[in-house]
Amino acid sequence: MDYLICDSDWKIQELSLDLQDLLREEIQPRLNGDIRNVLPELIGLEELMITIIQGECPRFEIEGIQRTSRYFDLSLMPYPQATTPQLLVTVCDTTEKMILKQELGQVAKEAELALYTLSRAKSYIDQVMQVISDVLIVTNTAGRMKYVNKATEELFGWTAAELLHQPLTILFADFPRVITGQEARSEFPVWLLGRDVEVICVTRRGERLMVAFSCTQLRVGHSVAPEYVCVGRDVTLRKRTEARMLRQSQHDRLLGEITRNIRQSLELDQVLQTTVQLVQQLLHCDRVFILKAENHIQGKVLHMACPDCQDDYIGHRYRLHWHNSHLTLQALHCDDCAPPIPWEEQDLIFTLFNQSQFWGSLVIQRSHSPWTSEELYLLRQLADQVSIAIDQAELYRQLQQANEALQAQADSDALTQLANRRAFEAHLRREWQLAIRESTSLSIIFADVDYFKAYNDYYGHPEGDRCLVKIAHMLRKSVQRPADVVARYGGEEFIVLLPNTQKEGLMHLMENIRQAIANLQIPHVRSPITDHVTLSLGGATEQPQPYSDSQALILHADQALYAAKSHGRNCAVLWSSIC
Amino acid sequence: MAISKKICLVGDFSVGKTSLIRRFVDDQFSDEYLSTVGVKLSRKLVDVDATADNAARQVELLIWDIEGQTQFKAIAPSYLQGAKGAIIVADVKRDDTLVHLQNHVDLFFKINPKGTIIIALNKADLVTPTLLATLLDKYALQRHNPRVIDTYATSAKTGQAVNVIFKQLATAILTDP
Repeated sequence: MDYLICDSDWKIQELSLDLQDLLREEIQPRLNGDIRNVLPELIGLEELMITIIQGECPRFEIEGIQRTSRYFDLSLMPYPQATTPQLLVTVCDTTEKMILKQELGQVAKEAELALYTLSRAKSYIDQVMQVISDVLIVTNTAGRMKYVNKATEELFGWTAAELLHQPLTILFADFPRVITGQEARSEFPVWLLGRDVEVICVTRRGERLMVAFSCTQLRVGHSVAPEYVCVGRDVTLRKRTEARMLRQSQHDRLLGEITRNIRQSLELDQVLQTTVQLVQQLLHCDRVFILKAENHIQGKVLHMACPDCQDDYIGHRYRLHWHNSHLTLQALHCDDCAPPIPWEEQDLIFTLFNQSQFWGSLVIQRSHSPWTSEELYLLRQLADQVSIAIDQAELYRQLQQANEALQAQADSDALTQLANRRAFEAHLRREWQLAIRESTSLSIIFADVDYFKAYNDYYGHPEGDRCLVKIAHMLRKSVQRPADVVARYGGEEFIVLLPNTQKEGLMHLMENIRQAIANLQIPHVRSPITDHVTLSLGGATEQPQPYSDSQALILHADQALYAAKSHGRNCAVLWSSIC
Repeated sequence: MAISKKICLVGDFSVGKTSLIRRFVDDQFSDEYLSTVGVKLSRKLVDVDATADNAARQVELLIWDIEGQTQFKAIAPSYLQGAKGAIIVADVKRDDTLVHLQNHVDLFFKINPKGTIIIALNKADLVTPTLLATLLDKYALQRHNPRVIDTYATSAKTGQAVNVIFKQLATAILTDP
């Protein structure tokens, strides 16, 4: 240790010999020189040094002063041996200690800087993890959570402290979800590995969520045991929307098919059967019935769709129950032989109308899931469509009836109710083709009331009409096969079409007719040949050929009739006998 | 003969105190970090411009490069004793060094109540001008203490504002009654 002693004017009074080597100052320390020239570190400390010289401050130290590559400590203290107050400044070489300190400090400070950089990076990553809106969970090899971000806490309602060290699977529905100390299965659910694996999860409040997890394995360094990083996104809303859109699409399709079916078919039975089948299939119903009301308390099952039913309900009658002007079925009581129908609270009955009148019911039963508002809305629309179909079918039926009546009027003779000439021509064309195909013969009879003009002139037209009606009635009675057609050909002329009839049978039938009319004994005082009404008949038979003409057959029958007239009337003549 | 004045560079470790001095005294810079232990004295003559009250003159700055503060070791108050001014230095890339600025200011004024301080937000070349403007506004400690004369964004690497802070501090010390 070296030293300097100076007075209160900072003049060096004494010094040790080795100072120059330590201080390395250009200015040599010399007696009476200013101590501050060799120790500029003292500049600015003059006031302090005075207090030390005066004994007011016992000591002041400056450690670790670096001078080129050397370090020293300065200690300032009063120098008591002097006659006048003086300052003792000791200079202690600490180079070795300070170099070691510098080396250690360098390492420590570099480490602290690296630590700071790392902590900044970690803090940055932490912030990123915390602000992302997706769930981020890191688990250990055993599938127990070791990191969860804020989004995880917010989505599931558990705090990070509650989740850490718990199995990931406690977040999943259908897994034990109460957080307890019990040991759960100690392995990561490997089926989660991959992208967008959708899992039904459950929150602390019991709310079920659909979360799409993307999990990857993470091996840190050379660790044998992998960890797992799971990113999860709540897709509940998206899934619900998709499901709703799918249901809406199915409902639209169902309604569309039924509506199309109603438009395409006027057959009510077909519409109703398609309806119950589509409703059952698309809404996964247990049973769908359509009951036709027979009265206000009883309905009969017309159609049903029930794939799993052992019993056949069609045709059986069940009791309808009215309550507060709504039709409900507390129970469908069966008749004696009808199979019972189990009834549950959520089963539905929709009233079907025909022209605003109660027509029947659409009964829909489904026990496995409650009805959604969309399904109920759909079914109401559907019931309306079915009612429209019923209306349409009823209108169609009425139209058919009217058409049939019109057709009947158009084809019949108003006086005799026999087929008229137009209807006869249609029958002839049909039977002609049939006879060609079947290679059978076809016969025609022309019949004419003898001296009918004279009858009319004498008895009057009303009586003439009554005469014609009686003859027509007898003609119809005489011709009994369903395919035979009797028609009024015009005036007092009648014509009979006889499919599959040979000339022998034809002659026999003509004679029977002639006799039957004669037997009617309708008086005819103006007849030159007898006192009652008689018929002349001409018949012709032909086996139609593909290129032959049916009108020829009529002509032949007409010619035979003319021959009968020529032969004195009240007789029957075959065309084959005159040609 | 120029008057000598002691000033100190104070701040957390590795904020660039030694680099600022080296740029000012020797006009040199090195990216290599060599931590300072203890204290090292540098000297430089600075021309102080004439003012209304004083003629132009020279001052010799005795610049104390003081070992930076770490979380385990505070700055030795004995180093600050007798200083007329200080440049308190922080690293704009390290928030903690900025936060500690006020502590260093307080320590200096506790030992030297009549001292003068300039704040240097160093390593300004490493951040965007926008962030720099924000920091200059946030750490404008001169708003709260008249003896803090200004805050500068500095860079020992580029030399930005280095001479300015030393000269402004020297001027303030000399003109301070």
